[in-house]
Amino acid sequence: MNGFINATQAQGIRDIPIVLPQTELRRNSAIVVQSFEVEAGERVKLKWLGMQILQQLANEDNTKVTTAFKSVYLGIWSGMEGLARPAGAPIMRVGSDVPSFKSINPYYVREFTAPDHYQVILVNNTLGNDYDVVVTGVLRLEDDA
Amino acid sequence: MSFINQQTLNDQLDLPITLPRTSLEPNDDLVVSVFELDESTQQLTFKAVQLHAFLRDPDDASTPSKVDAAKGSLYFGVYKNDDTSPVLNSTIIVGPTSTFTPPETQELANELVVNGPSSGSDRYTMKVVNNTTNLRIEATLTGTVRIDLNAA
Repeated sequence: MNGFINATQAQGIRDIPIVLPQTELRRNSAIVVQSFEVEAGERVKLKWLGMQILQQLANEDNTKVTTAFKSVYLGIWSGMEGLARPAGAPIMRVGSDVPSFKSINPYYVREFTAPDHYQVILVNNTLGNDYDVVVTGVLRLEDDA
Repeated sequence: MSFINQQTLNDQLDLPITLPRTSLEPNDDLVVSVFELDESTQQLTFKAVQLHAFLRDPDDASTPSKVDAAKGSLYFGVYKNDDTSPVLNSTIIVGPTSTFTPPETQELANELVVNGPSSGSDRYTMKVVNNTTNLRIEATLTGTVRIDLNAA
């Protein structure tokens, strides 16, 4: 759809922040950065998601908990309400093994329309390394007309 | 004034710049957000950013001892790539004079517009900085930056 936006449509569009200022992420730990619920008739679009490993604070064991994933990764899971640690593979993820900035492609929008509970979780996937990490992103919530 | 269409709305989003009340030790800084622009058509616009200093410790009339005398006791800045000085006009200064008596609030005085690079990528880091060597400061930052993925 490429038509003009009317006032009713505009009222049904809200941007929801995903924010984690510089935070120490300890080895083999996870932080729930954002948690949102999609209800019937709603559409949530992931518009922007980026993380930066600012520095590595400790380097004692590079062994990964999940070998297929990066040392630090940011992922979105569904159906995990009440859990602080992720289980299984995320719907999507972005991550890095070294201090750097990683983000999703903002021109490819991911939509969440299935009614469920979703969580954005930052994970330290190592057994012995600590990192300083910052996360910035935004979700757009739209009410289906 | 033209109308907004769906595509224009899809290309514009408001990214958060937020710091909950946080204690900053002397000569310490905290990264609040990081964005990366990698297209010349992308544009960041900083419009609404407020920096709040809640308290200083010790809470007396002593003059802050500053790391950078040209800046305030507490400040917010936008840093491009590995620059050690913030982007011009991005600095929000709290406690600019010799006295610093929280609670104090300052906001971005002028709109700051940043355009994407013609090649490669530019990383923009937003920091809150305790510019003193003798004070612990508790502060929050509230703001938003608009990114246009296809600025004209």
